[in-house]
Amino acid sequence: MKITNLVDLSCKTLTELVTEYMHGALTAEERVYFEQHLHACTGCMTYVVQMRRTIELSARAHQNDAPVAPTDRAALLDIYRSWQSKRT
Amino acid sequence: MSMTQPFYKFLARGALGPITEVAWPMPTEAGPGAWLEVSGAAEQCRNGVHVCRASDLSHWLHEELWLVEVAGELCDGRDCVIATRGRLLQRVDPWSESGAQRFAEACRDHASQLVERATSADLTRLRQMIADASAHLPRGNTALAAYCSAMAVAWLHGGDHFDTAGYRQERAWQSELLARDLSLL
Repeated sequence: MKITNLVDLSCKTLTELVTEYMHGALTAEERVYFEQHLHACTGCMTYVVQMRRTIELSARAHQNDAPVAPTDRAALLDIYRSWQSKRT
Repeated sequence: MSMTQPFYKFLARGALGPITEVAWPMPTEAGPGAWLEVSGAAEQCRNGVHVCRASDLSHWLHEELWLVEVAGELCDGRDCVIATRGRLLQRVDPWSESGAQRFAEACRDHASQLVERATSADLTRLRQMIADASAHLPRGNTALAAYCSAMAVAWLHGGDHFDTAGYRQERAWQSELLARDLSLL
C-alpha cells in the first residue's frame, strides 16, 4: 500500500504497516507520515512502543539461551524418542 | 540552516524519546545534558538525533518540550532536522504547565471559526471534526485536538477530498501560534 499523505494512514492501516516500519521497509516519506501519525495518536504510539519492546525482549531472551551440554542433549533426545514410541 | 538557530524536541515525560524510549540525559545545575550521538550519516527516521525548528513544532506534539543544541552533521528533513549529535539545554516548562491546554483550545477555536465562515462546505462533517477536537480537550489529548482541528481545515479547503496544502497551512499556523505563545520566536 502506498501512503501519499497523512489521511491515507488510518489507525487500522498503521497497525498493518508496523512490521514494515520495524524492519525499515517503508519509504522515507511513508516513515514520516507513520511517525507523524504516532505523535498525534496516543493509542497507536502505545501500540508501536509495546510492539518494539516485545521484539527487543524476544531477541534478548533468544540471546540468553544457554547452550545445551552434549550429555543433556542426548538425554533429552532419549526422552523425546521414548515419548514418540509411546504415542505410536 | 544554522546550528546557532534554536532547535526543539518534544519528549515523553522524564525526557524519554516517545517512540524509541531513549533516555535523553537531562541538564544539571552544572550545564546542559550529555550529548547523544550516533555513528554514520544522519538520515530521517533511520539514523540521527531528530529535532525540530519552531516552524515544525505542531507536527511532533508531546508531553515535554525541550530546547536542544545540535552539532556534527546536520540535514534538513521533512518537518524536522536530523543531526549526528544533540543535547538538552532546557525544558520549556510553560508548555507542560498550561501551554499545551491553551494551545489545544486555540487550535480548535481557529478551525471552528474557519469552518463556520464557510458557505459551501459540508458543514455537518466539518463540525463533527471540530466536535472530535473538543472531545479531546478535557482529556488533555493536545496532539489529537490539534490534529482533528488541522484535519477539519484540510477538508474545508479540499471540499470532497483531503487537501494536503490546507492541512500543512493550518499546521504552520499552529506552530507559529505555539512558538509565539511560549515566547520561542
